[in-house]
Amino acid sequence: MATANPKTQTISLEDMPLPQLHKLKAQFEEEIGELTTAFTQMKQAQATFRECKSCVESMTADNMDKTIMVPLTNSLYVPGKLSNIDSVVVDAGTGYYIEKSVGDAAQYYDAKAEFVQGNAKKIQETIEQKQTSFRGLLEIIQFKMTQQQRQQQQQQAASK
Amino acid sequence: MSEAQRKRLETETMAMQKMQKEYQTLVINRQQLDSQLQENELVDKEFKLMKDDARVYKLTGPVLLPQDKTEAATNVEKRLEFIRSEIKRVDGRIETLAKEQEKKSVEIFKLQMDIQGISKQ
Repeated sequence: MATANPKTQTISLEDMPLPQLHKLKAQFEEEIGELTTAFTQMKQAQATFRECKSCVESMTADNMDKTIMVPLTNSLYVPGKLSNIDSVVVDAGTGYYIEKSVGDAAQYYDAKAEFVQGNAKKIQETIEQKQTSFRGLLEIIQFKMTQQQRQQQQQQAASK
Repeated sequence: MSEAQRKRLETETMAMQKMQKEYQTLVINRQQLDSQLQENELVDKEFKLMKDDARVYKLTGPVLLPQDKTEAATNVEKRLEFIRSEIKRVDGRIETLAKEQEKKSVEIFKLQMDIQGISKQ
């Protein structure tokens, strides 16, 4: 794991040969990429929950008996009438749906959005940590490469 | 380099690759189990928070079928149990495989050293 003792980590990094460092760099890039995707997904999920909440909130007495368009598919709608503004059915996951009052459903979506927000924050923190170690790694690679170049030049000079 | 040694190195490397492949599938498997566990845990939590008069439906194809509440709850609990035992099993396999891999890589390294030693002579 990357959460090993930072001191031993830096020492071992400096002792590593360049090809291995490059491998490590690729690994870091992949990890950061994956985490960034996860972060965007979290943000999207959060937006979905917020949208659900605003939909639930529009189930007011004012809108009772109003005509709405119900989507049967993504592109096919049929007219319907809002006949129940008290309860909705909420997706609880793994195929189960639970009937809830409108107020409970709004609370449910708030809790969900908050939960996802917490996860997104954790991911962001991990990304920042990884990026810091990544920058450190890049510095070491740079240092090693210049060192190697200098050695080569010295060897060339010596052989002449 | 003797022919027998090269053959041996080849088979050992193949075995190593096979192990790595199995390891990767196991890790993916483990991740899937983890996300399943999380989803089921959330559903379980929802069931526990649910009001007594709330109705529960299960999505079957395109329709929602009404479900018995206690039945649905025990169903999810059973699923959780199953997933947890699966995770334990996969974790155990991953651990033994990691150890085997380590052993194998040392073996291969020694073999390579031997071969190089001979070819230098």
